[in-house]
Amino acid sequence: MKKKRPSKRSNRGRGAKKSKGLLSKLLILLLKLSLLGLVIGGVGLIYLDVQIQQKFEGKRWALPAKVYARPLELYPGQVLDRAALKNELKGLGYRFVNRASQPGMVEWASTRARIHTRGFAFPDSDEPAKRLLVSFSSNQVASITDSQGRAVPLSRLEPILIGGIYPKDNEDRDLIRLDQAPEYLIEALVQIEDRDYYNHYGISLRGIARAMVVNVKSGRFVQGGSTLTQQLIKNFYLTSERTLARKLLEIPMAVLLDLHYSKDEILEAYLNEVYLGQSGSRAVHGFGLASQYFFAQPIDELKLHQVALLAGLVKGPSYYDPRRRPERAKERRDLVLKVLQEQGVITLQQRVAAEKRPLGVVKQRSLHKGAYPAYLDLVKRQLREEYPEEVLNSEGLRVFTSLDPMVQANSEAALSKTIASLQKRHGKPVAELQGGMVVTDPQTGEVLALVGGKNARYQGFNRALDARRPVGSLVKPAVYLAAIEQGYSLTSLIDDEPISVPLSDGSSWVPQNFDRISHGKVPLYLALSKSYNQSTAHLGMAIGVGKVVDMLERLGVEREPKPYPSLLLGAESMSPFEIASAYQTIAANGFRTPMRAIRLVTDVEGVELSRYPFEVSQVVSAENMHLIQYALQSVTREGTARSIYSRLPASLNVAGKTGTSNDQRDSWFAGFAANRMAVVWLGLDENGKLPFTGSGGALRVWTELMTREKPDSFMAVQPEGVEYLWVEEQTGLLSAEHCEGVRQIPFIKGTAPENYAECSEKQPSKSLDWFKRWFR
Amino acid sequence: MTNTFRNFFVLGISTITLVGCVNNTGSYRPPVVERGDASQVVQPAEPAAIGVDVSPGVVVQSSSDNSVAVPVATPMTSRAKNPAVIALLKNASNQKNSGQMSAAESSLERAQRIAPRDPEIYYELADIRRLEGQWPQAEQLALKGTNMAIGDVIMLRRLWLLIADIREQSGNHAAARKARQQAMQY
Repeated sequence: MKKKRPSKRSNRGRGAKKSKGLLSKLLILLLKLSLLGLVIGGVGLIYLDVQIQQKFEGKRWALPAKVYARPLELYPGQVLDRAALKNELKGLGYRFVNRASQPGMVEWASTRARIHTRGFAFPDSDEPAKRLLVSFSSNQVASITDSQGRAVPLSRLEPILIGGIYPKDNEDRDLIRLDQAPEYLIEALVQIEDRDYYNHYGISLRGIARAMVVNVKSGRFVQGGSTLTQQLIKNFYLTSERTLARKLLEIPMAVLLDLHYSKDEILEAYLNEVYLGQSGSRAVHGFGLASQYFFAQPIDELKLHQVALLAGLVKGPSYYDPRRRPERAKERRDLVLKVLQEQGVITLQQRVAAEKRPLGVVKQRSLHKGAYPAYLDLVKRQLREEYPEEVLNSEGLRVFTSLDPMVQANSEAALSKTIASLQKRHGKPVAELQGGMVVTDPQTGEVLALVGGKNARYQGFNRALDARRPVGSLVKPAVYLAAIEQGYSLTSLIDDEPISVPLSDGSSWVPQNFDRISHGKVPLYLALSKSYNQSTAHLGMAIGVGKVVDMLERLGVEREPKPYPSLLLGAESMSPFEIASAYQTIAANGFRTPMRAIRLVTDVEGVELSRYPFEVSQVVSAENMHLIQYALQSVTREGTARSIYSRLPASLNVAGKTGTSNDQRDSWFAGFAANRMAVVWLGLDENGKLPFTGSGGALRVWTELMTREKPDSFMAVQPEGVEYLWVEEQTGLLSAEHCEGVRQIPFIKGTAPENYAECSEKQPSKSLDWFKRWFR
Repeated sequence: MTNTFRNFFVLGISTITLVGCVNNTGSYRPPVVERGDASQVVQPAEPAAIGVDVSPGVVVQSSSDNSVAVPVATPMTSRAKNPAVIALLKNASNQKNSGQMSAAESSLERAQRIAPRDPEIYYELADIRRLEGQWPQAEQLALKGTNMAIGDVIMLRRLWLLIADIREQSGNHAAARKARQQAMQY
């Protein structure tokens, strides 16, 4: 274009003769210039061609890592809340129908469910799609049979996708192959966007002409008359600005693309490239992801009315947004259906039936993706230790986590419900009350749920990981455990008397009991159960603070606590997550297990890249831990946490410890049943005083969680080196079952009290071990 | 001296009731702890998780609201395993034998999530680590197994023999001998 201009300009207002010679010169110049232009154009074309091929054949898209929740296992004998199973299936986008004839469908009845699973290629083995009949009896799975009626011992559902790790441009997509496209999707796209698709050479002259007319009429550039090929070129290779220059580049590129690749190849790329919506900062690209985003279903399960909706969205994902503009979206969908029928792709009956269907778009809130920012935060932190960011956001890694959406839902509900009721009761001082929670399986060390704040869907300050607060009495089990290792027994009498410890700066540490009363000589287990500060200080100073530091480190506290006397009463600040690793070790009988959120990472093909296996290391003897577990059960049965049993059944054994920091700024509870360990922190972000203690706040959240979770009862196993003896509660002397004020208490063999209470002399004792000892 | 005196005093009365316990026939059920004190803590025995790994370990439930029974060490050699756990252990064994160690590990970890107190699972996990030459972790896993196997003499003997093997292979012969002696106690 530019090259012709000088010739035109120089033609004006010159003499004929002069101009003749000039003209021929100019003509030659023009010829040369044209030739040069042709060469440049040719080189340009070749360059474009290389570009097109390189990008089309290389890795076309940066694929975000996909993060999955744990897959739900189904097996006979399993305790499974039916409502929770239903939620799981809904989260996976299963349709509840009368006849589960295809994968992704469920027949739901009162005592059984027929689930046609989709199957999933797990890294360890393939889980094929199956038609399972799951029968329930009360809250248990009674039996599972397959379509041939054979008993199925175990089956896994697909894992719910809980999030991704996105590149900077925030493009997200699920790649699909052309053969995964549901029926009518291709037809709908071609009919509504580019009817000549299969006949043109990448561009449609008729389309361009039509667009020209529109552009000329409106006086500016509004319409592109794009073919699907051009749209792909536009999104895939070019920037999004609407200029004529870009348009001119688009045409040769579209022709080249069409020349090199088949219509199907181009269409497949189109299906994955096209922009179809916006989820916050995340751009939804491609039909695979759009299907999940709008219907929570895999693309191959979509029906005509859904397909028509997605095809209609291409024209204006924001203008026709089915969530914000349902009436526009429906109009557009019905137009697509009309065109399909007019073109003979579908029958009139099909069209009418599809038009009657609602849009069927799921609520954005019901999607699991993006629903667990706190847990995902933990997963990302662990991943970043091993993988560079660009691998995480572009290689399509698959990350399998142990997040249990059922436990997570219960945890979030327990926290928000309890905070609401505390706010109702205490009013303004706790208007900004916040909390953090960590829930694990104490035997496996897997993190099942993580709550970072009152509003669990809000991605912000992750209190479960980052709120480091003084732990108060949560530290005490470490003090008592260290004492037991030093030879104390549960009945050793500890002084609960005023104590003053001189500090290096000249001041003194003078701890007080919560009730401001000193209780005299108290058996060790009771001092822990009632959380007496003075006796703990006496005990801790007697064994030495260094022993407590050592114990905390062995239990799993990674940052070395400062060895000040105030450590004994929990002046050290820790996050709920750090505290959880210590209590995890206590719940697991002295075997420390690193807390794991990630099970496995694979590449895009499912090949294992890294694994986070179950590891243990015994840090405290099972005998010593057994004694502390007894004392921690005393806390929940008769101590500071006994309010638990106003809500939990007496048959459920749980153990734990309350914690309240100085001036009542932090409310803590850490405790466990057989298969659930949870740490709860409540407090104010600006560190203000609370109108309640650990038992008045965090314990309520914990109890609420356990009433929902219905965990298995904690059952301590009696190690060989432990014996249970009857002792008198007041004095700690050996006694007998028939006596008043006695109880059975575990002792490390050889540390039993030597003296007998008076009562035991009058009647025979029934102590088995005592008898055996004597008999030897 | 006073103790000895007392012991003689009660011997005659208690012998009859105690013989049954000492023999440990497995049929003995200790009397229900009847205690009126509502604030009593006593630790219970092995789990009776519904449907999973129901052990015959005796759980004595008190009639009073707030007390539970003390653990009673009874043999648990015949653990009733859940079919899911049986299937997974079988998978793991096949995978291990065909050299697919990480698949075997995944199967065992699935089993562990279902029945975390089944010592067999820890035995197998330990054995995989042994085959991989990861001696310290192999031994720790086996030790965890012994903690889960309390009262199950057959399993305890197997686990201690495994520990002996692990120590032997890692070159710690003295410790291996100790583990073997421990195994012989069961």
